Amino acid sequence: MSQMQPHPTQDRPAQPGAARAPGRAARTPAIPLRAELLMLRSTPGPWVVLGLLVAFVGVTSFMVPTAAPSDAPLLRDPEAQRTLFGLRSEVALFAILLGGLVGATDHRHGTIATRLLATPVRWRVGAARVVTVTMGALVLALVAVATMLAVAVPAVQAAGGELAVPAGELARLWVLGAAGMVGLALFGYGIGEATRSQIVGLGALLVLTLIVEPLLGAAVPAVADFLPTAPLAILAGLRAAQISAAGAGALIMAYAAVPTAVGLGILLRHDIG
Amino acid sequence: MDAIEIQGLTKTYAETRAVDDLSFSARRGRVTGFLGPNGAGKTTTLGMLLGLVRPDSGTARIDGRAYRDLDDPAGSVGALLDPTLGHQRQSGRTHLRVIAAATGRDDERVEDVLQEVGLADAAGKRLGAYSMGMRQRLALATALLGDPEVLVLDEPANGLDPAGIRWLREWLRTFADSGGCAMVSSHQLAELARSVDDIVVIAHGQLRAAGAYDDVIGERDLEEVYLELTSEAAAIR
Repeated sequence: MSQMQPHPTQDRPAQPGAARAPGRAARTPAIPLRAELLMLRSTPGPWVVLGLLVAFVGVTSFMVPTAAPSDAPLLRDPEAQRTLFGLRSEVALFAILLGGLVGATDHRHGTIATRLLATPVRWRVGAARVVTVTMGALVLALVAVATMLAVAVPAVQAAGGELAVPAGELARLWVLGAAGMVGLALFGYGIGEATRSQIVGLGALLVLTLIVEPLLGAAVPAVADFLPTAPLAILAGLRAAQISAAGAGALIMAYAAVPTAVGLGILLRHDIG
Repeated sequence: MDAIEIQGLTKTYAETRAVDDLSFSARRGRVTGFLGPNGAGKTTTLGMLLGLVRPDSGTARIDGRAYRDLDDPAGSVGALLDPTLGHQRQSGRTHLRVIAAATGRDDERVEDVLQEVGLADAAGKRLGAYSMGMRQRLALATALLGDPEVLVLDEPANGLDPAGIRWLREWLRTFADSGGCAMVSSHQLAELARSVDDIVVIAHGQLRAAGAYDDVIGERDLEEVYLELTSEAAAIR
């Protein structure tokens, strides 16, 4: 505090409320959204998630074609290459974590009270967060696709193959994958908002996706297709499954809707003290 | 019309009645001290006033309206609650910019309030490196972002050095004299005695005294009167 001197009171505006105020403009939906997006950009968590996504997609996109034998279908067969260029279930983890961060960060750092003082009509905060999660998941999908193209295409060519999946099919894979990532990011958001704790929320999501899902899927194969990240690959037809692509889409919507509804319900009704 | 009007406010947590049929008001042009022992219900009352806590019954209004119904809440009321809260890796400036964005204020206003609380030079530091006094000033800057006409401050002098406390006192006086309403919750009785025009004392969630400082305290010592008013609660805690 030594470098800071108390400020002269004469710098205070002559009348409270004299500064320019937005009035009713403060209630426009874009304002809480701007705050959520700035919060997302100005904290390290989302950047760590993005960095890990790039590293994961980059490494796997390089390793898979490089390690494949020269006659492997993966290098020339469009059907085999779909798994290389589609958004696989593993990528869903990053979207789930991003959603969890958006839901839990204000609770973790105690800034939820400040946020609700700025936007006391709570559904506006919830709506801004849902939009933020959606936009964040789409950015993750876009970055994953860009990384995949930047790494996998040269890696396939270096291994003696070529990009064989038609452009229209690639677009379909990526649109479905991005839609699935949005749904799973909302699943993460709902858990983060409902638990009101970054540690509990993100911990639960990590345990669920990295430990429970693989173990349970291996132990009880009948349920493997219904666990949180599996429907992403099924939706785009990247994984043989007991359920259809439409069923996988419905499952992702359910995974998105139920925790999000619970999380928003808690945000709307819970006392902040 | 009083700037702040609390009428029959009641809140119960499980079996505990935190606030019990509480009524009082705070006026413009005055600094109102809000006193009570730990657990008396001060924070719960402020939470209900600011829409953070849902009352079981009663009303808490600012200029005749619930906080959430104000056209521009941040432009009407500035609140300082817990200064220790904030993302430790964000700078003070970024912390304020997020809140400014949420209230529809621009970055220019952020620089204005940083200057006003004397934090401009330290605005680029991460919150994790802030002293308690710096956090207190940042919290006050947050409250001032909307240039409000009503201030609700919970322990605003905590962590401030003597020069900072004097600055805060003079600042509050200027704020009230220019037509603002400041409601200050604090345990620092000596400082309150020098700052406030009106006083509200609660214990066990119930009103024990409210009125002009001189009417409630008279020629006696604030600490003496406060302990008398809250002695039952103090003995329990």
